[in-house]
Amino acid sequence: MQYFYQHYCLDAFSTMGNLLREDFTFKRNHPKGVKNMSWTKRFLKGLNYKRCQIAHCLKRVRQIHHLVSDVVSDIPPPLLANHLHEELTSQREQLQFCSDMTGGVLGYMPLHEAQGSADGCLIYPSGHALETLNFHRVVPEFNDDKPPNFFMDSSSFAFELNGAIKQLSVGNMEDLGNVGVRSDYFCSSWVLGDNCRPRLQEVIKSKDRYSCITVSPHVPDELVVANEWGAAYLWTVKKGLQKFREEDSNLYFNAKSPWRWCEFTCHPRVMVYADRTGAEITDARNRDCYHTLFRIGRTPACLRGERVLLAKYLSESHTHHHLITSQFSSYIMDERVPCVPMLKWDHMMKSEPVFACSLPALNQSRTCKVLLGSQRSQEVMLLQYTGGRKHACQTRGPIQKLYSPKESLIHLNHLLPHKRHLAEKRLNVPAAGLTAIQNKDYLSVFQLTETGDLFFQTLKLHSPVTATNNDLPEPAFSFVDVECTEEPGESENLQSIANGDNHSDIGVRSPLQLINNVENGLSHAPDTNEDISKEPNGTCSTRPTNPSKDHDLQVAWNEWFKPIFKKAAGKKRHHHQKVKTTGLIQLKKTKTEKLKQDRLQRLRRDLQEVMKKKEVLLQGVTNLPHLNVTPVPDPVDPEEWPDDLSQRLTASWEGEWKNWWEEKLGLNREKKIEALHKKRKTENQARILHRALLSESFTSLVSYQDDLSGYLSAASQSFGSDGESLVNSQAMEEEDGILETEMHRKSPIIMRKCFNNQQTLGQVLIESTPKRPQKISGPDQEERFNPQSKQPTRGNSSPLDSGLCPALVTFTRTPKSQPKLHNEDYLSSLFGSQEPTWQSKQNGGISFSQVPTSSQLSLSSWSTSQGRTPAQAPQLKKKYRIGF
Amino acid sequence: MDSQEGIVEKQCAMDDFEDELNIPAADVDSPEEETPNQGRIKEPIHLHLPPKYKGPSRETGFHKSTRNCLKIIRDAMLHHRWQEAAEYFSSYTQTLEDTTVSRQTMACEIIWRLGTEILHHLPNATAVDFNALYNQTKNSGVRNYAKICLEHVFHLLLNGQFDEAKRQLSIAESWRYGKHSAAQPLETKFIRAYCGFLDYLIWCDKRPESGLEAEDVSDNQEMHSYFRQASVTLGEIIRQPGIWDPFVLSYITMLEFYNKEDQALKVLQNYAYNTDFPSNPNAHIYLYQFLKRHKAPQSKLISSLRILHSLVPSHELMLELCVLLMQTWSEKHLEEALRVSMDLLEFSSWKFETKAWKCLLKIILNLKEKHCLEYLKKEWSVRRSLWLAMHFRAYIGRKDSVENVKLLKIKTQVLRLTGEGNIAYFGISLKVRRREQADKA
Repeated sequence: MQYFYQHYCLDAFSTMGNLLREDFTFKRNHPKGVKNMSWTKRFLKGLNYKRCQIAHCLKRVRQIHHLVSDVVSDIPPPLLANHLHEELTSQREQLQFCSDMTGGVLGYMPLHEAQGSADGCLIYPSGHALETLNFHRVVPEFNDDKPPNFFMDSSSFAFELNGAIKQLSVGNMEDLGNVGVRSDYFCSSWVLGDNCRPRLQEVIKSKDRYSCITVSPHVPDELVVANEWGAAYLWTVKKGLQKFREEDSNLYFNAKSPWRWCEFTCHPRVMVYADRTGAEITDARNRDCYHTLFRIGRTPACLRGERVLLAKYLSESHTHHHLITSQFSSYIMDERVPCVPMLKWDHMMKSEPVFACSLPALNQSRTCKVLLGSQRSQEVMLLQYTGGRKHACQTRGPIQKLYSPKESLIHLNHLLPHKRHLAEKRLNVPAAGLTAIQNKDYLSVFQLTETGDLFFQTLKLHSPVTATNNDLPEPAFSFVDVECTEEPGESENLQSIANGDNHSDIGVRSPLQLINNVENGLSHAPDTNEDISKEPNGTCSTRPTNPSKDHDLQVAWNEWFKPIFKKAAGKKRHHHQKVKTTGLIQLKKTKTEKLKQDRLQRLRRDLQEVMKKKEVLLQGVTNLPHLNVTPVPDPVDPEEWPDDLSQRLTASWEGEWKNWWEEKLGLNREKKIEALHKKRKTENQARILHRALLSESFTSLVSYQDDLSGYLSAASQSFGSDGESLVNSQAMEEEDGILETEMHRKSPIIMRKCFNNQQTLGQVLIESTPKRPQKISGPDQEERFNPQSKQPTRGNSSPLDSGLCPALVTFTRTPKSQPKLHNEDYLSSLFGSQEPTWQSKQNGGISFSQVPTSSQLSLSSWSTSQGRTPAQAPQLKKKYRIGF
Repeated sequence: MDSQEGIVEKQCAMDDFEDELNIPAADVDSPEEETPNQGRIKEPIHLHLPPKYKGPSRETGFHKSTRNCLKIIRDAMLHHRWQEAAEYFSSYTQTLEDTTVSRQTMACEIIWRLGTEILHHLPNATAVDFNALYNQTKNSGVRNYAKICLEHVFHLLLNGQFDEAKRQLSIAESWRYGKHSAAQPLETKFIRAYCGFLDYLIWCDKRPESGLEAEDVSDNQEMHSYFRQASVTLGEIIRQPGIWDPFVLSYITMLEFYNKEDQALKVLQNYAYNTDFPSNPNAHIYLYQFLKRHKAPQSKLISSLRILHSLVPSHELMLELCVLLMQTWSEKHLEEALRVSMDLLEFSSWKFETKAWKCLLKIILNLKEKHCLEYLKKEWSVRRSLWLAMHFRAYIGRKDSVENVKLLKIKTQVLRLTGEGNIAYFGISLKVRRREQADKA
């Protein structure tokens, strides 16, 4: 429903409005209404009393209608929903399978009895609804080594009928040939001959829809028709109808289908009466005499859901054979042997075959051919078989699929997408008919689409070395455009095909295609025959069809495409109707609003200018209210959340979740120990080196202390990281001893040394592990730029989170280029403001704890969080000691 | 031989893998099962098209690519591009690795059908390839074992490998595989029938060409054993309802060879008159021919042909019926002969047959001799409109005058005897006669 409302709003909402609008267009000088006389009179009377009251009112009504029509529906939604559902269901079914066109609307009748090079007449409908019947004379030209050409006469006989043409049935050509034409409620019989114009013989009409018409192959002027009521008539032209069968239900079971079909058999008074469930042979002379020819469910290997789609008497191939197709298979039945198929194919078609064309074998060694065509998918399948007389029927070669119009674009040059789209749209319409002409080695297959385009392709018989079968056609495409001027209309493509098994042959494929562009024809030529005046119709041109290569095929197609593209290009765009609603809803504009509007306009202007100059529009310039700047929330201090979960989260935020876990579970202990040893070693070496350098400038005491501090740091390192391990406990004890002694001698100088050391360590750090998460960048960067000013802050924060990493670490990442300077700054700051340092000292061994932590970090950047908890315990211990 | 194979081979003519799969054969569609939307035509299942799921597709990449592969193979096959199809087919065999059971069984069948079809059209396929393919598909597609066997046997027979075919058939006959062998009763029946048929062919080979000397026959023990084998299987097969024309004929030939006419007659009568069997005009023809061969009395021949007439009034043997009826010289039979021959001529296939017209003329002349032309009048009054339109319209006259003057003359005579004053046709006939006279002069 919603979709309907949205996309078909005109249908859904404005029907009533549209209907009534005619009566509501009252101007002051109102022309007298034709239909609504009394109402108009009343209205005119009213005019005398109240001036224009109604007119004014109506104007408003109309305006309101336009304004609110898509909100208020004309038809009550439940009712609409019902009908919509019904319509959609039926449309879907129609789209899936439509039996109306069964049989096809394309026919070819040779104008002389002799097969071969004689003229023929192509009979096809044209017009938007396929309501114009065309008899178009075609002169085929058959050469032995060339594919046949078809010269279309310049003009065709066209007759406008009173309904869409649904089926054409073509009889045999004798002196005159019969053509039966079926519309929904009319059937007509036409005759045509070589020397006379096609003419209408008789029309019959019925209340029920006709579903079939067939012209007798035996006796001229005899036809059978069947309607959806279930009645079947033998219609002898000018003598009337004779009902020979009437069934109000389906033959064998209830298939709920009104479709009925009739065909002749070998005997001119015996007919095949078929519906979806099967086919029966009925004798028209004796109503009670009938027997089954084909029956769904009784004929072997029928499938569930299989239905008869088409029955056809193959009079030319074999006088007793009938073709019956279902959606799965096609059967050749012999009327003498009921229910036993002579032959069965699975025709492999995508959609239901409803067109069939049979071609008899031209001589004993050749095959009979059956062409099946489907409507929706435009497929054409070629089946071949032999036998039926002395030998049993036998298929010859596998089923072959012929080209369909929609596949023809492959053979052409690429088109621009939008043109391609147009062309595809035109070519993809369902097929409407199928016929074929056979001559010696060539088979020309004509296909008609529902837009009235006529295509043809030619197949060549592969010179059968082993007197067996097989047409292996290789169609390419070409066409004759009826409307356009003279064009080469066919192409020839040579291709050799290595063919398997028992037929080895070379295939010349010479497929042609002929397109009759009906829509354009109508637009080009003022050819409307109002009545059946039997006037030759339209402008057409003779087609000298030269055999041509692919290039000409392309040219021909281009010629055909031209009007399509032109038409599409010329299509006018629909303009939307504008309705003024100014007077309808009146709003008072206050001054302030006006001011606002001014402001907005100015802003718009400004914006445009700024965009032109590619500048930035500053808020100050605009008069917009100031935006509330939401402050960035304070960074979460991970140290405030010492619990496991928070720390884990912190770690994972830094991308070290895995490490945290490894640390936590102690998986990396060994690695750490090893790294520590290594570290210690390098440090020792570095110290030795350092000592050698420093010894000259420092006193021995200092150097000693330095040494000590080195020890100290190392010890605390090991302590920090291995605090939880008991393996090194002994060593630790030793170190503890040293530590204690060292502690007692603590002094500012040591402190300074410590910091110094820390500093160098930090630099080492940087070099060894350049990778550090840089998350806490903002404040730190400032730190980096002006470390002095920030020093106190750092001091403040560090004591709290003794083992603290991020701040510290970033701190250590100070620019390498000027370490010395930095150091000095640092030192000076330390000296300048001793307080924080001391404070930190009081709070806890910042100096001790910090160093290890950072080193820990340097060892393995991930260990921070994991190492922290265990590390804190010794720190506390130390604290007490310090306190004493 | 060729023809019999044709009958069965038509079933395997083209792979119909789309149907048959998961679709049990429809017995009789009963109205209860019909869904309300039954006016609709059920569409065939297309394995090569994407499934119509509503909502997101549940298809895996593997399924999608196999489906696309199948589509390409199908297109190539329908356009007879066998080489291309073969290339894709070699990749398609990977579907066998599908883990879903249903899909795997389906894949087996598809591969069998596609594979054999493609192989038949590849120029360089050898017998070894065929054997390999058939044997593999037999083993993987157990569900269609019997069908594959039959197809294999036909292939071998067509390529002249008679002994190999016989061997394969006997293997197939003894094949048992639980439920699977029981699930293919029709095919197993065929296999049995063809076993018997091949035995019969061997018997034919061994049959002494000339003369039926009893001693020779009795010497040939091997031949007898084949006869016994063949007759047992064929006799058993023929008893089951169905159309068994070639098998019946071969069985009868054997029985006749051993002078078991009674048995043969019984078989033929059963084949023709048993109501369980589908209506089969051939059965009556065989019976008639058998009767005629064994010099059955005229009345029997006539009665058998009468039945045939009721089934197929257009059959060639109707001429023989007319002759038989005329031989009795009874008026009633003559009238019947007239009816039969006129019925025959109404069929379009006999329209231009001089033989049939001659027969009719003879009957009419006989009637005239017996002064019974009122029979003709009676028949003619019923058929007049049709016959005038069908046989004696001007166009047909002209055609006859060009193609078959003899026929034209006979028809003119018949027309004159009916007392019809069809000027157009007579005119043409007159013209022809004058021309002939002129030619003579």
